[in-house]
Amino acid sequence: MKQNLFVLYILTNFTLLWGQTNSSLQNEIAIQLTKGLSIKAVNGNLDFGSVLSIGSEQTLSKNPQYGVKFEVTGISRTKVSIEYSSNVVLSNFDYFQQNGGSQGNLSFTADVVETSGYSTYVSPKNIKSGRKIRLSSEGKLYLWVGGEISISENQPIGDYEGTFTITIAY
Amino acid sequence: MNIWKTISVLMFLHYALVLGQTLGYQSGSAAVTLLMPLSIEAGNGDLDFGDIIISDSPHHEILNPTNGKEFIVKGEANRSVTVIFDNAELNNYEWSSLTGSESGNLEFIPDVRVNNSQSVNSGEAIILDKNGLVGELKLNVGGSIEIKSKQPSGEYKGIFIISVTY
Repeated sequence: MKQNLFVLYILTNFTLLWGQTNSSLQNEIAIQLTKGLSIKAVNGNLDFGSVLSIGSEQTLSKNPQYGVKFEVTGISRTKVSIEYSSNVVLSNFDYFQQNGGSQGNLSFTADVVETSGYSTYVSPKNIKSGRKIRLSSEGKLYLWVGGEISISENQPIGDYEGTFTITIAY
Repeated sequence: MNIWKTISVLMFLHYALVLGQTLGYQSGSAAVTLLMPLSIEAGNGDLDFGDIIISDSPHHEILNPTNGKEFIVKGEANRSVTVIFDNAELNNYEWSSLTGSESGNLEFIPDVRVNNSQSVNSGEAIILDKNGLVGELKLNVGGSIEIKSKQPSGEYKGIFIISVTY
């Protein structure tokens, strides 16, 4: 009995001491990986070519299918907002400076359509600036840009240039 | 009666039982060292690396221990403790199952410092500095995570465990 008491005492003492001689703690680690959002011009352009000044009003049109094609890449099935310049001013200022004549401006009105994740011109849908569209399961969206340029009857001749901007964001 | 008093009483009883069974008197000394219990608690900060944009090239994300998680060890002053920790695995399984996206793993390699300066290796012994009646040690944990070039996106989570022992 005395031996059992002795063993019990030793075990109890050992257990108590062991429980107070080490300690551990765990903490959560976290990181969120997000695919970057990008847009790039795949092919085409917004060059309306050379047009003869005929002394009367003209309207030049470019179908989006034959304009510029943009590819948007990001997180699959995530919505992105699309902002673009609905009206762009083209100017012949550089031509005027080099060659003289008259300075003039033209107005380009953009026509933008989307074909979802299809890289070919399939089921195009017009979109207004500010619209939000969901990327495909592959994280893609295709935008096609065309538009119109109005030429007045007394439009000065020259090379007209301007910048069309399209912005996407999550 | 607290646990330390219980131990003292048991020791005295044990000594008395042994003494009563001998034919003659024997004397000896009994000694015990009572240590301050060892504990580790969470301090300020966290191990959240935040939102990272994946690029086409692999890179390391680094969390400086100064900006990471603080752990406070308390125990017997001027006594050394052994600090033990290991790398941790993160995965995006929960996010992947909810979104149907590709799953992936990451490895967290910890960077542990004492008082934001001296680097600590796992298994290293460090002395607890006297702070009033207790010994104290502050550990700061940061680390790095390697992001591969085709790493699946998503919310990655894992658990870092740190232990101390006399």
